[in-house]
Parts: sequence; structure tokens; C-alpha cells
Amino acid sequence: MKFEKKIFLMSLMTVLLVFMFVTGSIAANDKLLIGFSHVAMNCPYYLAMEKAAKDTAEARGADIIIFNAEVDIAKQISDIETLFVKGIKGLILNSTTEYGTMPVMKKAKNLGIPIVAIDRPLYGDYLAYVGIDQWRAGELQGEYIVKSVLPDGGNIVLIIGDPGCPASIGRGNGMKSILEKPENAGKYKILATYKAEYNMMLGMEKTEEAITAFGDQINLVYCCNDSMALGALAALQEAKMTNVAVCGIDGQKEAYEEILKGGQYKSTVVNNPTVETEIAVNLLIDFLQSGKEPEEKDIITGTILVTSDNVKEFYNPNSVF
Amino acid sequence: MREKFNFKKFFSNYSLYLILVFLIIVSTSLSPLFISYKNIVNLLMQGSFSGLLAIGMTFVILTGGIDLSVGSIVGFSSILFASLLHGSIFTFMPKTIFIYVDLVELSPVFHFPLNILFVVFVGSLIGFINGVISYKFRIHSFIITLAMMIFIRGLAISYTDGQPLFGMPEYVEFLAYGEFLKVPMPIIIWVVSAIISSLLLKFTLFGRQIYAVGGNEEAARLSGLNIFIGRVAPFIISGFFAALVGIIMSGRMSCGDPKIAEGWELNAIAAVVIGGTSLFGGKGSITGTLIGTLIVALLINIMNLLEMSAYHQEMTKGLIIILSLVMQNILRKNEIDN
Repeated sequence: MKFEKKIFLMSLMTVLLVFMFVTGSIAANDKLLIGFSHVAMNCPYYLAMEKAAKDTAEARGADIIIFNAEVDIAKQISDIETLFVKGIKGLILNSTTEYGTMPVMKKAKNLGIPIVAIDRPLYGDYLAYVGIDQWRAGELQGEYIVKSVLPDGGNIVLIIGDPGCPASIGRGNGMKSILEKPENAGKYKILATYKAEYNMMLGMEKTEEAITAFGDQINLVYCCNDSMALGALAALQEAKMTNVAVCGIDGQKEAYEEILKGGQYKSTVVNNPTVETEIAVNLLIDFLQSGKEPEEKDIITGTILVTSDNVKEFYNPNSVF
Repeated sequence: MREKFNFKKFFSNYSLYLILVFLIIVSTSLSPLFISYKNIVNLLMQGSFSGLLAIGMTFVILTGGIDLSVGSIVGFSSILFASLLHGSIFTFMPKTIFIYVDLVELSPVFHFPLNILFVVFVGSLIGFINGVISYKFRIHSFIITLAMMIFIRGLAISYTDGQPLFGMPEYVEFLAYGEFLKVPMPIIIWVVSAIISSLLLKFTLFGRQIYAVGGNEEAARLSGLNIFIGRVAPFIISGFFAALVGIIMSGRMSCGDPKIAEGWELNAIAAVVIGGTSLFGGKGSITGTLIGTLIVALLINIMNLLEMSAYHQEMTKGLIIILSLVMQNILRKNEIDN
């Protein structure tokens, strides 16, 4: 009996396999298909990028598939491989780590799929990179801190996004490099470094931890993005520590509002996700449709320091981000 | 009367295969891309990573234990391997930033194949520690491997402050992207490991020890079987496979990354449990685990093809695992009743 059942099962599977390979055709579609391998969708910045990508693609008459890697490099590689299967002609890539996507980018090159990298800097064979200069953003903040926020020195709590991320590396270490300059030696102390995954809730939690650990010693909480900085601000206000300065990066409109108030929130650096994504998507579609090569390989969108002096130029209550 | 009986028995004996076939049919009808050669290869390759972990996990669960530390061992092996290639076995370098240069100057501590063997040995050693502590101090492996998971992950991240370490030699990239007779290497490694493990469990004394210890430890002891081997060896095997996956993943990413594989232990456990291995030990097989791995890999694959949002995918995965377990329970009850 069991032997017969095994034969039955085998033949069932064989029939199925034959059925599988005989049938199946990929539906033809005239629209250009591009893919977007996004690192995460857990904060307004990334959501703004998603929206901009969808809108720009629609405006250009192309189809776009967006995958969320949930900050997992292994998932991102799988996502990109799935995008290949889906037949994309071009790829927008916001890579989780600087090196992790190098091999899969090589694969893309072999398949003739051009890549436009966006936001997080990365190494590999790409057509163009669109984003701010993360290191310069850190430096700009560093210079502002040294000049205006804490001219006489002070203690700083550093909150980064996540250690392996190029944005954190650039923004954090860029700022530190100014503090470590010989003329500033000995004036500044980094009390501790926390990581809050660019998330507002975690930014608040980590600041609360810092307050418990260091209390009055803190003079400045420097965060690698505005979401975390807004969280830090909330924690400081809860603890009634209104003399502690807060700095962020990205140019989120809520951050501008805080700077406008002229309170603890001192400065941020412009990093507009919508503009960045629009440029990247248009670049990719231009290249795919007409072979138009980008003028520069690394397109640095304006890395501009925003403080109470110039915030009015940038603040737009109606913007998405 | 006889026809009805056969159908029920058939269904409960082959429920796993039928679920897989059913899912294949449903997936094919949901997306024509599913059955394309490219996609099947993709599916199998992405499944091979949790598949390898699931093989090790099968040994552990068969003896009634569980290994929660495999994900961390994968990450640790990855960064340890990269660190070896850069000249140190043990390092704390939080302040150094690695600037990429086109040609990486590698000054490896050991040369191939010694470096791969060393990392795999370390993984097995961690597994050995898991097994011995659990056995000697009579603490359930859930607690030990949970603690080990946290410790090893922390150790891995402390190597480079969480930053990836670039520079992988070609032979490792070959392990991840190379092909043998048009089949990607990870799939080959997975299938070969599954065959060897299955033979080990079915036809050797060691295999019988595993089932005996998992089924009834007292009876096994009274039969004169070596309980120590039965309780410790599965963890060594689990650690071994985790380290192997870590090395292959390093090739896949062309760098060592201490933060990968978070949560992979759960995928492995899901594959083993769906495959019919009982969490109480003593019952199960590598073949079952293989099917379980395929089912989970298939699910992830079709959900990706259908462009389901990442969060909906998680919900569906969880639902399917619960459904699988409930169904298996019902079918087992039917078996006992019959």
C-alpha cells in the first residue's frame, strides 16, 4: 500500500512539474518598469522619499516597485534579486550599508541594469549618486557648535542612527572631527554615544537615559537626524532642562518650527528627501529612455546649515517633509 | 468504507507534501513569474541560508532542546572572518573608520582554507559551550542559548562598533555567487548538508542516540547510550552550520557584518516545526525540515512577487506558522484516534 502511495505522489509531482514548466508566460507591459530598493520606511524622511519616487515615476509614465528592506542588508539583497526577477530595467538604491550591496550591484551591471544610488553613500558600480555630503553636514554642525552654540566648550551627548550606517558615520564623525581640531582641544567632551535608529521615540528614550546618567552635565544633545532630535527635545522639556541645546540634521519642517521659536533647538542641515528622490528618478528614467548620461557621478544636493538666521528661507508648512 | 480510510490516512501521512504542492499551485496562479527558472533559483538560494540553520536546529530540537543563538553566531562568524582577513583574531576598534580603497590590502592571520576552518571551529565551540552548560548544570537550553545569543551579538558588534568590515577574497564570493553545473553554490551546500545529515540520523548509531535521548532520556541511559554525546553534539552541529552560513553571507555581501541574521533563529525553528519535528523531542526528520524550509521560503518568495508590504508579510508568515502547527496537531490526533 505504502509503495503504491509513493508512486502516486511521485507521479502527481511529475505532472505538476511538467504543468509548471509548460505554462507560465510573463505579461507584457509597455510601461517602463523601475525598482526602488529602500532601506526602511520607519520615519517621515523615508516615507517622503517613497512618495516622491511614486509621484515622479507616475509623472514620467513609468511603473515603479518599491521594496522595504527594514534596515536588514540580507533582506535588501534578496529584495534586489526579486526586483531582477520582476524584470526591472533600472534601480534606485538606498543601501543599508556602504559595502553590503556591492556584489548584487555587480550582478545588476551584468544584467545591464543601471543603478542610481540615493541618500546613503555606498561603494560599487553605480551610474550616479544623489544625496548630501554626510561628512560635510557633520562638519557644518561641528563648526556651528564651536562658533555659536558652545563657544566656551561643553559636554555633548551624541545620538547616532545606527553604527554601520554611512549617514551616521559621516554626520557623527564629521562633527567630531571639528571638535578634535587642535584649536578646540580639551574644550569639548563627548559624554556618551547612543543609537536611536533615526526614530523619534528611541531618540526620546535614549535622551532620558542620558539625563539619568549625566544630569546637569549635559550642555548639548547632538543627533544625527531631526526625528531623533525632536525626540530628544521632548525628553529635555519633560525634565525641565531648558538650557540644553539640541541640534539635528535633515531639515524636517517640525525642526524648522522649533528653530523659528528661538528656543533650545539651535540648528539643522538641509537634506530634502523629496528633491533628492525626484532628481534621482528623473536621472534614471532619462538614462533609460534616451541614454542621457548624468553630468556628474556624485550629485550633491545642497548641504546648507539652517539656523535661526536663515530658517525663514527654508520653512514651508505645506511641505511633506 | 475502505476508500474513505485510505484518503484520511494518506492525507495525514503526506500532509506536508500536499501543503507544499497546494502552495505551489496557488502561487503559480497568483503570479506567472513564480514558476520562472530565475525565480525558482532565487527562491532556493534565499531559502538555503535558513535551510542550513534549520538542519542544525533539527538535531537540537530532536533532543528536546532549542538553540536561540544561531543568528548571533552567524553575525559573529561574519565579522570574525573579516577580522581574520585583516590581521587580527580579537580586536576592539571603535574609533577607526575604514576608508574604502579599490584594492584591499589583506594581511590574513590564517590562509585559506585554515581561516574558514578556524571560523567554523569557533562556531562549533560556541555550540559546544551551549551544550555542555545546559547538560552539566541541568539548565534548559532555551535559557543558555538565549544568554549566548545576547553575549555573542554584543561580542560581534564590539569588534568594529557595528560597522561592516570590507574586503572578501574571491573564493568566499564564489561560495555565495558561484555556480556548479548552473546551480548556485549555496543551494549545493544546502542539499549536500541535508543529504549527509539525513543519512547520519537514519543509518548511524549517532542518529539513534539523538532520537533515543530526545524520546526518553532515562531509557536511553539504561540502554547504555552515551547521553553526553546525545545532548551536546546537536549544539556543536548547530553552531557549525551557523558559522558556515556566516561565511557564505560574508561572501554574499562582500564584507563582514556583525549585525546580520537577527531573528534568523526563529525562521529556522519555524521551518523545523512546520516540517513535523516535535518540540518535545524524539520525533522528526531532516526531510520534514527540508519541506518546512521550502514552505517558508516559498511563502516569502510569493509575498515578495506580489509586492506585499513588509509588515503584511510578517503578519502572514506568523499566521501560516500557527495554522501549520494547529493542522499538524489535528492530523496527529486523527492518527492516534485511528
